[in-house]
Amino acid sequence: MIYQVSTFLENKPGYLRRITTLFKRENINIRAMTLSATNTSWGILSLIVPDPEKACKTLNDNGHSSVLRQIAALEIEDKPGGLDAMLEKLESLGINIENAYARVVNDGETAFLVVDTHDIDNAAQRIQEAGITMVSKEIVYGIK
Amino acid sequence: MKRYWEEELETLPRKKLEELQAERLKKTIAQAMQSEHYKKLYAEKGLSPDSIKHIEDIRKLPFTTKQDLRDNFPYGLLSTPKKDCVRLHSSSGTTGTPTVIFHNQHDLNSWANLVARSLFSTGIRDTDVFQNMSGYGLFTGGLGFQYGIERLGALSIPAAAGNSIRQIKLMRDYGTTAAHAIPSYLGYLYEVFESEGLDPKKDTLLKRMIIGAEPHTDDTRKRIEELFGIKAFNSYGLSEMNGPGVAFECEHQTGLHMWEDAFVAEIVNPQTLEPVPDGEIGELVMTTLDRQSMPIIRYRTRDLTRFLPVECPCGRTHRMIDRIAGRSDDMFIIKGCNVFPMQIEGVLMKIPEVGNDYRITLETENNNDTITVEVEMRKGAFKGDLEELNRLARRITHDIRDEILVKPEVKLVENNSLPKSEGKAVRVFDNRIIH
Repeated sequence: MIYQVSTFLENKPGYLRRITTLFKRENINIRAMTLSATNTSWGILSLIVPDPEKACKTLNDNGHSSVLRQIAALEIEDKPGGLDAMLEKLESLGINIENAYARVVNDGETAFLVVDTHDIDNAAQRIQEAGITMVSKEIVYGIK
Repeated sequence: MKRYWEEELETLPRKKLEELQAERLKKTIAQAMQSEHYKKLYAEKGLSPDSIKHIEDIRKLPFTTKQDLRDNFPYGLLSTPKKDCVRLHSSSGTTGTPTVIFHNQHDLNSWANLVARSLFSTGIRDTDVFQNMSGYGLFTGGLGFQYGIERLGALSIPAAAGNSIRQIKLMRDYGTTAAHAIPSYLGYLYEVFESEGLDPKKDTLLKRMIIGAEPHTDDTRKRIEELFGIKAFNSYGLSEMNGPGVAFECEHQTGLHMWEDAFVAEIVNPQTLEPVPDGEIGELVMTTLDRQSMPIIRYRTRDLTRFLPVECPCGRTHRMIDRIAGRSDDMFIIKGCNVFPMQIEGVLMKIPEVGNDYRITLETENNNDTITVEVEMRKGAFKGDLEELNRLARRITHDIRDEILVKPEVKLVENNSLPKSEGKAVRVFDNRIIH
């Protein structure tokens, strides 16, 4: 199972940097990230890091409420139309995406799409059954 | 087994208690007339100890206000020679003339006895180890409790306020069983326990805590009781009436017994200054009955409460007041509605996802008054779901609006991120432009 770290973040100048400074100090690399906010007061920062459990603990220990959330990482082709093809498949499976963000893999040919959706277990199973390639934990976390 | 600290006084039949009050009030008037202020005031109005036949005659006497204390700073209310005084307590006076109260040895003895009586009524005994986490010095919560704990015969730890790591160490080293602190500090102290990997329920011997000095709701009390696995007793006092030991909850926690052999308590409508019926909220007015150096008669406390028209199973005959509902000066007016910060606290503390602290900010935007409530989330309340947070914020907004009739802007903030104060918590910031 693959996890992202989701952190509660107040929407104020300098607050995101508190986290990047903390990660710099703790030597935590951010592989991918997205910020979502639905109003002006707060939002959620979602992060892909090599060791999500450690990062989540570090954040909580430093006063940033954080949780691990299971996600699915789907392989897409790193070329025009790659994302569109994937979304078409997801649409046909009736999977609604709550949050998604992508990262290119260093081989120059593939990328992966991080998908956060309700009932992730069920969704992951249907995705797998539909023959969509799930990217391995090692590739997502960048560990070999 | 001994059930009361002073059985006869604490269980005196009402009629006898009122007779005692009247007799002591006469003495108090005579004593107060030794001061410049009361001598002049009562001479002008033709008042004397003989004006009192029954305790209800107290209504003939004029009120004393904080302004009177300031106008007579520092010695205008002193009723014994200064040489006779052995201690003073004073407000910080950072915002103007301080309020100062002088005590002679009799006053201090009487005060220590009232605190001991109060602590005894909660079930604290001479076998207890009592840690006082209150500021020492001019603030009465330090020395006031100190002398009371000693009078009771418990082992006192004068830990004073702050330095939470040390507080926890003291509790564990000496097996603290009882403690006193202000409620807003205890929420913070619990966080420190957690961050030290400790659970006060398992890792201390705490059984009872005295909480007071700032208004709080019953839900706040229940939270403190749950967090620490203790019983928490509400305490009421003010430096003008000595400090702690004025009114106290006994082990039944049904309300705060007002020690009516030492004080006369009245509750009046703050506008008309007429007494309100029992059970109705009004401003508490207090008179000392056993103080020599600085008797104060009919002092307007600005604290809002009501008499609880019930009897307590403990058998004490002294009337009970309800927890303080706020201060008549804390009230703010927004869009024509009178709001007490306690109303907002009451709403917040009913919501499980809400943490221990909040802050209210009033501002002017485009000639419009706005109210923003920043709410700390409870640890573990964040589940990583944006929609859940939005629902929580909407619920808080809705519930506050229902209570105060004005729609606030609710901002959720990180657990423990609002500035903490070690004194009384300041929770309302009024930055409005006054027109």
